[in-house]
Amino acid sequence: MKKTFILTSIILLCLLQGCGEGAKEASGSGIYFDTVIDIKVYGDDADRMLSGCFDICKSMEKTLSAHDEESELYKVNHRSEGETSVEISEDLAECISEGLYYSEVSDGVFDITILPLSGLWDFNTEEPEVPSDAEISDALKKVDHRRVHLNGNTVSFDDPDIQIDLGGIAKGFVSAKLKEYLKSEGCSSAIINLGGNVSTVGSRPDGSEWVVGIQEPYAGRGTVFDTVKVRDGCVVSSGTYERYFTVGDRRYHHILDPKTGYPADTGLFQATVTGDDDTLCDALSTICVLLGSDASKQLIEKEGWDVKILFIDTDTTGTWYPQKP
Amino acid sequence: MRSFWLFKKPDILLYLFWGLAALGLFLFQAYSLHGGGRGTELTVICGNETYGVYDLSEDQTIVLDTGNTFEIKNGEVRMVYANCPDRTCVHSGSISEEGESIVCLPNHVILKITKGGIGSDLDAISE
Amino acid sequence: MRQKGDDPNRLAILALLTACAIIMGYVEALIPAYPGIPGVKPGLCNIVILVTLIMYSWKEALLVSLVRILAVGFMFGNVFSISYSLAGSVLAIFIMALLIKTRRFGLVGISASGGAMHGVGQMIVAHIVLPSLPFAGYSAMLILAGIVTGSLVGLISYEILKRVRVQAG
Repeated sequence: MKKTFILTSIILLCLLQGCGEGAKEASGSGIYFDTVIDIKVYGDDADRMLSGCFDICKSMEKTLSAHDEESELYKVNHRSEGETSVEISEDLAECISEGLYYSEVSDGVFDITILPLSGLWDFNTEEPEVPSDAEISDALKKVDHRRVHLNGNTVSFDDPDIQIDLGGIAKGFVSAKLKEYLKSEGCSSAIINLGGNVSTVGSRPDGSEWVVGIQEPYAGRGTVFDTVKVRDGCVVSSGTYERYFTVGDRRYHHILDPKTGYPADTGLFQATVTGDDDTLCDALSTICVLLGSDASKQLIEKEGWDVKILFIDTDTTGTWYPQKP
Repeated sequence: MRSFWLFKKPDILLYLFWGLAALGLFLFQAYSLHGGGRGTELTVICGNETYGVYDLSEDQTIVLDTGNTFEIKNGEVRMVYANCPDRTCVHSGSISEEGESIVCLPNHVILKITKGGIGSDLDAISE
Repeated sequence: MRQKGDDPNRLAILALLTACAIIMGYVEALIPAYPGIPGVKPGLCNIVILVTLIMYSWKEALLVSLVRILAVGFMFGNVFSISYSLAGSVLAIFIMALLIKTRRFGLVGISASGGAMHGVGQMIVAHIVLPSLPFAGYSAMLILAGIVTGSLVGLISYEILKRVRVQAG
């Protein structure tokens, strides 16, 4: 009897010890792609996995950023006059291919060649200005995703003025990469926040679901409109409140409609998409704001995407589609 | 089978003991939080490297290499100066709870309260 | 387990108690959500543990508890919930056995202390797993919750034991 209990106690202690060490926590923040990235990783090797994540962020920034002058994409956009096709890296090709896919299925409402237009609108100054109609119509001539072609790792352009901006999907693409990396390292608990795009690996270290709040549009930062519980999924919001300025009594926000050249006006303040595919959720949240809720629902039904969406209209009334997760 | 009773007078002592223990722990928590404002530690990240960790109970003003200047006062942190074009960080007010942060994107500066506060029961906010 | 194990009556009752404890775990898992603080549960299994402690000793109680935690843990929980339960139960059984031995306390007080100790055990594990939690404040809440649920458990156990004693003659 005595022996059995000594043995039991030892097993108990080992179990406890093992669990304690199995769930170390490592967290870090940094600024990449012009956004704040917060990552929290739990696991045996949390510190190493965390730095692995930031290494990926660093290399992705050097690949996908349209604004970093040393990035691969910047060099592609600033190719020499006669250069119609450029050989690019696997990662960039993959991201451009995703971008072209979402440009096509959304019928150009989401367009990765929007850079000449988005470059006109500067939301990051203290004295912002609305560009003139002439400037906008001029820029619109340079926006057309159908004039970009991807063949393997070669991207070719029909027009020297076409430039690519992956801002609409880069965050989703990177968080999918981070998730893939963490899973390959055997991580079962991590949360990644790429400037408000929240993505999760597994569950909380105690096994429960992650709880993610959804920012209320135009309310103070941290004001939560609704919360969702996710396991392995992501929660991405896009909204007119993220970056905007007002001139007179008109509000100009950063989600630009490539058909008109002006900020989208579809009766929505915000769309929050949750699902398992980070890149899809990122692209779709922007597409929803650009299309409005009815057209978005049609698109989702047509493509059969497995997502749950919260539409918040300009009265700050929220509706879940098809239902709250 | 042992003898047993529903309630005996010394049980009151047990309740008293646990009540006091809980009260003590509450007070300790309240004190340790109060001692450093509401959070206790501020982590400053500059150019994606940790620049320093500061105690919120010590009032001070610190100038970073980027020119950004922040102030710790009464357990609250606020950016008082930045030379960037939008100066969002200066306009974003003060922070004191765990998980809150002030960010200067153009200069790659993050001020984040990392330890000690009650914090939020949310893991993250999608925005 | 040695000569005593040959007593079929005792073996049957222990098996029955273990089954009860597992069912209690299942009943708890059925309740969809608990208000307020994570980690707070009614602790129905502790009824069985307390009854075992009075009928037998800490050894039997520990055995029943261990089998219960592993069974319930693998069915409804994970490695973390198992480690929380283990730490809580071991400490609770320890304190309750000690208080029973003094013969000075009633079931309500004993069980309340067990409940509080359960909370302390959980917090020790939580502190190792999630060092960022506000340890002291959280422990206080778990202790208070443990006293309340523990007292209830004591009351129910008393009613059960009264009847068991009558049955046993």
